[in-house]
Amino acid sequence: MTLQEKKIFFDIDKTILFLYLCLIFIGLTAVFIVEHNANTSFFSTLFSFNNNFSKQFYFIIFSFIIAFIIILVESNLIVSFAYLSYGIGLFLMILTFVIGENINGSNSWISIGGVLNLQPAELCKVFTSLALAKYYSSMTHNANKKEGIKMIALIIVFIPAILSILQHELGQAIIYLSFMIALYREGFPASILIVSICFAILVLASLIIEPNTLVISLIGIALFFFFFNLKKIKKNKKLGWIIAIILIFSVFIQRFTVPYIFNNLLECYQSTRIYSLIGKDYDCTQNKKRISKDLKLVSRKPDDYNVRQSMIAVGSGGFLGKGLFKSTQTKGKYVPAQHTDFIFTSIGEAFGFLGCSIFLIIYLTFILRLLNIAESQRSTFARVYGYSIVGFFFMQFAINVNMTIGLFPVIGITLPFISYGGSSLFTFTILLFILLKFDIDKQKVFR
Amino acid sequence: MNNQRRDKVIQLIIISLFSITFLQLFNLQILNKKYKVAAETNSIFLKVIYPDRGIIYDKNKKSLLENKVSCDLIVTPSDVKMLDTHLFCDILHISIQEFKKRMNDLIYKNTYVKPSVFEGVLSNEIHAQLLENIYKFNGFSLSQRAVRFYPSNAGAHLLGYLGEVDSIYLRKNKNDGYEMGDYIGVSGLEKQYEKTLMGQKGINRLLRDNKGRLQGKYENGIYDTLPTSGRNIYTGVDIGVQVIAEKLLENKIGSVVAIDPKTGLIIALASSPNFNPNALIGPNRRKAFVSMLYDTSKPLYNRSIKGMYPPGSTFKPLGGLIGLAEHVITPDWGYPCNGNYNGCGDPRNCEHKNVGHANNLVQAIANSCNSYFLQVFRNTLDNNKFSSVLKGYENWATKVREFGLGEYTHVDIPGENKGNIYTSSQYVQDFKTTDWSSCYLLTLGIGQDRMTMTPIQLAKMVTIIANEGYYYDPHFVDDIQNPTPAEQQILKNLKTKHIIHDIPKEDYYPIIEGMYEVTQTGTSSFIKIPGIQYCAKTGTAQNPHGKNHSIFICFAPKDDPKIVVAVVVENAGFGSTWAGPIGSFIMEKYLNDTIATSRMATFNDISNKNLIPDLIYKKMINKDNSQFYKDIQNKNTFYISEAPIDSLKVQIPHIDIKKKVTIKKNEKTKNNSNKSTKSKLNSKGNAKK
Repeated sequence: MTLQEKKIFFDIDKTILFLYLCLIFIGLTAVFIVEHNANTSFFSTLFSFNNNFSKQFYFIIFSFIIAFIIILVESNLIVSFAYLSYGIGLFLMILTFVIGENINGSNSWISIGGVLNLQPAELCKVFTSLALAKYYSSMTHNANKKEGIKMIALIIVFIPAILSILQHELGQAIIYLSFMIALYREGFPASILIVSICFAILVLASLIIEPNTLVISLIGIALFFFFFNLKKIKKNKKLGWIIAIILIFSVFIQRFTVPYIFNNLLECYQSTRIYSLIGKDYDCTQNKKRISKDLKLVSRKPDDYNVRQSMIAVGSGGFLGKGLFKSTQTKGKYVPAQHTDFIFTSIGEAFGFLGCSIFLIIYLTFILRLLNIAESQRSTFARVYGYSIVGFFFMQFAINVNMTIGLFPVIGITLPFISYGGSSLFTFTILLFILLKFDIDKQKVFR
Repeated sequence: MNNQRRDKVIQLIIISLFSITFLQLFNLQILNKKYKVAAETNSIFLKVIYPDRGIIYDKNKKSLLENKVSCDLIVTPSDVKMLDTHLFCDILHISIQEFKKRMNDLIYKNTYVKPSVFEGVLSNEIHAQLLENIYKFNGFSLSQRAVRFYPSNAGAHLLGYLGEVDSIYLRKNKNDGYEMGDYIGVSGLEKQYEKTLMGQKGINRLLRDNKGRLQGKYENGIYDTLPTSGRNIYTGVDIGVQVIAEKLLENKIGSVVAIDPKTGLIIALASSPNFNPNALIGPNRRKAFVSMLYDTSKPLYNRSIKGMYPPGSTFKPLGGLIGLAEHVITPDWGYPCNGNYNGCGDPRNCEHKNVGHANNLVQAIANSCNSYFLQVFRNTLDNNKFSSVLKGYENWATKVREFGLGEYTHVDIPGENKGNIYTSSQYVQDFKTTDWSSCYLLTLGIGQDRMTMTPIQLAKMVTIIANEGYYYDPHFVDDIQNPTPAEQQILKNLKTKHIIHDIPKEDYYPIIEGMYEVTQTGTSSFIKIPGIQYCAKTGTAQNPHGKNHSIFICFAPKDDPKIVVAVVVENAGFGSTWAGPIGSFIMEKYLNDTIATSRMATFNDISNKNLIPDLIYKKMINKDNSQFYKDIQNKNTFYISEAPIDSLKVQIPHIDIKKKVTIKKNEKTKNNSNKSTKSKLNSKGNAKK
């Protein structure tokens, strides 16, 4: 090894590396807990490559190799290939419409040699972040076009998101919302965030509260604002009109937009999941999207089955958990997709509240450390890129864990580094190590 | 730039969202207990392990019943693949349609993935064939479970049988640990000693997966409890005597009770018509049971403790004894009987006409003189000691009750009747006056009138006479394995000696002498047991239902009684003709342990004789249960294979039905009344049960 290479490995962020290895190990353990049964031994299954646990082990080794290669690659190379890779990513996503494998109801997978199922939407996260970073860094010194930045940045983000929706992968599309964090950091107006939060609250409220009661309470809130700002309104009559318009707009959303979203935009099972989260039944006959297919789905298991089972699994863990390999819910295979989307239940049941807390703290430290690294980047490219992946990790973690404990509707996305699956593991390893590479080359300026 | 402070906002958002997750975890895992319960009901299956029921032994420590491992054929429909249906159906002797029907039923009842019983309690033959071929039948497996087995095919009435516990019992006894589908003793010793025999169920906690399949033990079985086997019971029954008794009662309606007078232990207790206890085990249990339930001859009815018969002449020894005790007669007192008793105007018949057959008490018992005992009874009631006949009767009734008439014998199997001795007030109601003459209830003196006794009461009465004044309650159980304090108390009660105080020992001597004389010169003098001096009394009880009941009481040896027997054969005629020989064979078997070859011919004659009243018999074979008997005759075995068909208790000789239809008219009416009152009697018994 040359001196320079030694320096590379010396400069790498040790905290992140350590936390990364920790999470990988936790993930492997969690998958093993799911796979475990009494008459298999740890080592005989580890190398056999005929179960998920063993496959995950090989995926991890492979991802280490990927990480190693990324560290060795010249960082400028990555920067210069940003747009090209974005193009390739989009091409692959479009390709899935043609040769896509149907797995779990979406055609978003490409099978490679029958061993590995690749999901281009996952890889596209890397390419989109790179493209966004590249775009921002190229615009930094171009003061004239500052207003246009926002629109083009949004387009870069939303093309893959829309493609994901077309593939019926709502989960992946929602993850692209995490670019909001990066965009916000780079000067996107905060009002957008506030408005969208208000919108979300309004949607939720119109689901929970009786329509007429909601209208009355909305009017109440409006009057409340009106009388408290009476003096200001006297000075500036515009303000009164604004309140009135907001009120009318809110009622419009509550009356027309929300039903439209649930009946026309979302598919039946998605609406059902969201309704079940707040403890209501969604009448699928109202749903106008893909009616012919959905009528068959009506007779399936109740849609909150998996959430209920995963909550039972996590909840029954108690304070200390049931102990390694003693989880009854896990052994009985009560939680569907437990090795992928619901992997958190295997930790929750086996190690209880204590284990979960430690896990949360590790993950939180990991994300905050990433945020720290991203913020400390000197070049715009690295910073935008850093914030993008902070958004990814945070979004995926928050949605995944919260859906297993009943705080978020069930969406098929993985828990980075923990869930079983090559596609997810490789994507996040690549994402992470590209940032680490930029971090090593902090002194350079990327364009 | 303003933007640079935005990282703090982002940090805040991240931390606050983590906190929400954290709080929800706290809520789920620590505050909320319902998920723990939900997880357990979800995934832990409580499997009940049934203990082996206790075994009941006879006095020679031979088992009266055992637990036999029998095999069930279990099928898991989802695993059935590439089945050679033809071979499979051939082995099980079922049609392919039947196979398909059963599979559909199972899947409907117990889902596609859970194992269910395809055929229970396989016969040995089918089991062997299946064992050879089971590897060809994917999804089928053999599973063992314990069932009762009766090695000597005898003792159905005393042992009782098991049945599924009913919902009424479950509701009343919630804490006894029974669940729907469990088996419980329904009658006989199985019911009486249920708590002893049952043992304690064990519980295994098994993991169950999302489709209800069992995955193995929970926590390696540290929470499992082992079943405790039921405890054994040692009885005084002699299975050899029991088998002989049942054999002798074949094709008759009647019963036999044999007691060891020294201990009160019951040696044999048989009631006929009988059934093979093994018939109530196995796949066709229900069919056999229903068929017996509707049988006009009531094979399930235990006549030895429930059947109530007028004792007839067998009451005479006790009548004489009471006369002696009351000093209304002396042993030398005689009555000049010339074939009639004219003391109450209307002459009463006596079997003997020769002068001097009732010259003293011994002769009177030996010759069973009616006149003599009618006079003794009248003397007892008309005793000057008492102010009225009514008082005299009350005194007599008290004495009689001391000998167990009209009282429960406290035998340790459930459902006994206590016979009938009217109280004075009941007679007052009948006579509508308190001013009686002893002639009003004259025939009580020879065991008729309203007096009825069960066979076990007869045996108890003889026990007291044989013991010269003491007895133990007749009972089966001699000892219990590791008795609990409660059971020790029960055993102590059973072994309590009861003494008849107010009758001096000397008074018994002429009675015993008289009963000995019966076997020498009297009514049963033609019945001899090789090498044994026995005492007996025959009875020919008139009854309103038809032919006389043939009754016989006896004990042997004369000087040191070791066995007491009471035999009743319904509607058979003279006591000495049928009941007498049966009693003698039982004593011979018990005392000599074998039956002399010279007597085997008589033995077989009696055993083969059909004494069931014609009309009952006709109904038995023609009506509800015709298929049941056809099956037996064609040896179409639905009993488990160990039970030899020959030993089935009711054997049907060939009958010419045409002949039966032309029964004489009067006989028909007789039999009709016989049947109707009998069914009344039976329904009474059932109601008590």
